[in-house]
Amino acid sequence: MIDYLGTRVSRPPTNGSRARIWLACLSAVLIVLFGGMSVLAGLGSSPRMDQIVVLTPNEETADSAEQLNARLTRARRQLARLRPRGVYIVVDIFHNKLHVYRNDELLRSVVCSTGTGIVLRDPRSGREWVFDTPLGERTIQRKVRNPVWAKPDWAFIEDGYLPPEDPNERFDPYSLGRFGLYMGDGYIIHGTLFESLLGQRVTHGCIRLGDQDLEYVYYNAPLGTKVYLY
Amino acid sequence: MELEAQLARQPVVYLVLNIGRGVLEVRSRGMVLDSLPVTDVAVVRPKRLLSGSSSHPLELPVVWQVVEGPRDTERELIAPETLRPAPSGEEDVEDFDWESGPSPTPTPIPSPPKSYRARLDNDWDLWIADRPPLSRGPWRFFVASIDGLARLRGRSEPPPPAYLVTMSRSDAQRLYHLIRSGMTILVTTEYP
Repeated sequence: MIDYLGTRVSRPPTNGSRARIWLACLSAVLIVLFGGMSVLAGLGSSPRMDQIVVLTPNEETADSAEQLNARLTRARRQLARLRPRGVYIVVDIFHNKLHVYRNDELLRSVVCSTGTGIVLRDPRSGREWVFDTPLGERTIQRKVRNPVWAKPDWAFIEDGYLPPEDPNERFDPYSLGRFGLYMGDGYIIHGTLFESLLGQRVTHGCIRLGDQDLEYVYYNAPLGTKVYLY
Repeated sequence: MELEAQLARQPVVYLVLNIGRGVLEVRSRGMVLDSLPVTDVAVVRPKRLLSGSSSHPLELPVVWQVVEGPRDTERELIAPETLRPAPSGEEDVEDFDWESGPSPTPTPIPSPPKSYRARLDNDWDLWIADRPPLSRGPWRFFVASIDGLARLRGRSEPPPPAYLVTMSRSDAQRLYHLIRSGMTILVTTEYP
């Protein structure tokens, strides 16, 4: 536009032209962004799912059907021999449940508490303890009424205390309740002062039961009872 | 079954993943302790954007062992900085309030994750999840771009290929504490 003095003046852009400018800028940015991402995507990779095709060895080429059947029968017998007989205990660590069985018949299911899985580190030596309830098969090796807990180092360190040098300072006749069923390596099925916490993962690896359930397990699980923890 | 008979000789808990029946069982001494339905078993591998999907042959039965579980690196740590002398046991008993009893102070345990990976002895990962990873077009494009950028910066380590076992969210969480170092998994298809 030329004014009457012959100088060029610019007209303020209208709303429509502003929108067109913005749209053009936005398109340019998107094109550059998409182009850049395409180049990067060409360089990179992403996870892809593939289906599994199962291959099974053709055992009949190695053994006759008769030999295969004999092997199968032998394996079945081996497995049957390994199954527990009489009373055994199964502990479901995730659901904090303890089940007592006799020859596959469920006798009693009770609520318990199991290990937190937390790690404790000794600031002096860097030694670490993992408060997991162990997995696998264990055996009731010892049964004790009114058990006394000889507190290990971690019981003091966890509370911020130095472990005492005098062993007599370690004995605690209260925390384990009225009965203790010892499974080796310091793992015990015992009572609790904290019945309100049953059903939660709050222990240092032992299995805590309420008073009545502990009494039932104590009197119904003889020495040598197998305990399956999973 | 012969493989399981070998595993069952040890006093351990092991897992049996039956691809044919779509079930993962927790076992010990041949006993089924728990049974978790499996939605799908597949292989997840990092691939170039335009490469097609393929199938992965897996010879069964096979035994995998977990060499590094997810909990091995994700545990909560209690580390007091200093230790003070312990009060004597007698003082403890004297101070104890026998009327109201102890005041429980449980450490809150976080809910187990619904998707996690464990390293197996064959250098593959076992990936337990409640759903398959997002791998459709736009998402795959986006992930490949991020990976490409990381490679340009020299920071990309492609994850190892993984056997993805999909199951319900509660079952994936339920299995979490069992996927520990040393856990043995028998993978089979026809076995009853």
